[in-house]
Amino acid sequence: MYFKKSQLLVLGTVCAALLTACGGGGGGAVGSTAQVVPASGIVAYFNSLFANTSDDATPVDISLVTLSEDDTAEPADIP
Amino acid sequence: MNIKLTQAATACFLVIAACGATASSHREAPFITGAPKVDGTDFYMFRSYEGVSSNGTGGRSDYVTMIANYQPLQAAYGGPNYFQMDPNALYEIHVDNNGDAREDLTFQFRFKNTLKSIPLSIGGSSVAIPLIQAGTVSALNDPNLNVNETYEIKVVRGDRRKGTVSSVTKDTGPSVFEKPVDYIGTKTLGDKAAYAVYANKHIHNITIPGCAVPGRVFVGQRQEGFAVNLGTIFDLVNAPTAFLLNPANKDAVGMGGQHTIQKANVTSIAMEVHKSCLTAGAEPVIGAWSTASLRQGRLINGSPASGNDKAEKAGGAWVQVSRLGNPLVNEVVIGLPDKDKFNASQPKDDGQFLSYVTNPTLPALLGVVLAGDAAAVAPINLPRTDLATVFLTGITGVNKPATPTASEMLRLNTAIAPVQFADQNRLGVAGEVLRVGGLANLANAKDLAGFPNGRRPKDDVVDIALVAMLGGLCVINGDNDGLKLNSIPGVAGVTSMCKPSSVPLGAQSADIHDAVDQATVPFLNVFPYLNTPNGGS
Repeated sequence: MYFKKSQLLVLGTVCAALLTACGGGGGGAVGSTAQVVPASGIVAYFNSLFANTSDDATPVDISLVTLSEDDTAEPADIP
Repeated sequence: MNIKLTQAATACFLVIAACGATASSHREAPFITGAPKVDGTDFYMFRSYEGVSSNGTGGRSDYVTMIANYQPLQAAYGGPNYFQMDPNALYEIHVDNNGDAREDLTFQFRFKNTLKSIPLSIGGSSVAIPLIQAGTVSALNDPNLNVNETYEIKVVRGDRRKGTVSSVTKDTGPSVFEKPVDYIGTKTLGDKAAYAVYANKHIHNITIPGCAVPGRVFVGQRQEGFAVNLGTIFDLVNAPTAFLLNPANKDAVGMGGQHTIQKANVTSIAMEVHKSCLTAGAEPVIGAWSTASLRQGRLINGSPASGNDKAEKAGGAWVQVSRLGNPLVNEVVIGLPDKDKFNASQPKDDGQFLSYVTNPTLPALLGVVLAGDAAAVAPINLPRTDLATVFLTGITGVNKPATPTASEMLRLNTAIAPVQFADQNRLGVAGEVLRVGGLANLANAKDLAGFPNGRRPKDDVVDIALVAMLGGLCVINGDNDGLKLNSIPGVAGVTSMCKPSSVPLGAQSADIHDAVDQATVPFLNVFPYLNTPNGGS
């Protein structure tokens, strides 16, 4: 399987953000590294958050997360 | 039989009105009920009638006013934060000036709330106050405002996302515009006259790139101008039936423009733009609609930082969540499963909703529910080419562009002169045709500047929509297709017999009203036209 460069960037960002957000062991851990989620990776990032949460989890720390904005793009399809 | 039809017509009207009683587009779709700051409620567009003479010239007659209302049913006392616009939202007014169902011009509004964190010294400690004002307010950027709300305007030529973007500025140069604080009450802002003076300081003269003539803009709180028999209708139509079929009672419960909904406020984005800046070539008809969009990604911050608007992080592309052109479409035409879809859609894709217009469920449903007969009150000219023409293409000779593409938007023929407020027909074009005695006497008409040829605040769109739904336009269309309603302009192969014999209610379809007269609601005779808001105290 091959990835485009942009896909790798998104994937890497999502993984990094998740690792930060989850602190390596569940929601609620405090992130310590600034993360920038590219606008093209918002949906993937959110899906990853959804996949790693539960009703008894504490909120993911997003204080160091930046969701990039794109004024020229159309919304991404949500699977 | 006449009695049965009368009763059915009354009930039919009431239920249609009830659907409209969610108001023109207030809380009309499931998703938007949870996002009131971006809930578009009404959209007006008309040739400005400020200062015009009786022949429709002079004053601001060469301008077009567009008003997009948001944030429905504001209680005036809704402190301490009141009703600021959403800084994480994009508010837009789109204009199609060549009939292709795609925007050619878009005016974009983005808001910003600046928190001053005005403190008080309490026991030697400096502590931020909990209110948005620290004293009386009367000036632009008043020092007593703890939150200053401002906005910027962009004009986009071409596709709303991919087009050429320019900043609209004040005629004095700055690109940041001040918005007045809501009418908190008389102790903070003075009486209604004083608030009007304060609010008028926020009417800005603007320079629009690519437009040789300056325009005006105002964004701020206004009294709700949309009139409808709201609570009574929601309460199982709790009104005497006899009132509703008697034209003498058309404002029986409207209380002279002070009905319940008029005690609420809305937030208006009002623009006045010279008509030459909106039209293209020789085509005088423009179509327009308002939208609001949110960022696709929105995260709620479990540990928000101190400050204003820190509880949410938003990113990604803009996602449209509200759309409004003609009033009442997403209420009484679009089915419940597709209301959110409609709010997210663009006119160029309206083919997906066509059957809702040509084969409306409401008349048949009303017949079944109210008379036990789906055919009792429903016009039989299916597909309803009359409704499709009004909502999707414009009426020939009134507001149809030369080459229309079927799509839902508010269409205005800018070549038709404005009419002074006092002379405006509350039932718009249909009312004026009826007033002069039919199409044969159209030359005697003096007001063809009303809905559906644009929409003015005075136009009673609830009553007009009721008349249209029950076939009133087919009665006017006559046996000789006088308004060209037997087909849909630009749509081949779709025809009907839109004529009086297709209308079960016949001429009675034109008498229906909801007992609240839009024409009695107080409005200004000058920009921004909608009235000074109700105060919180």
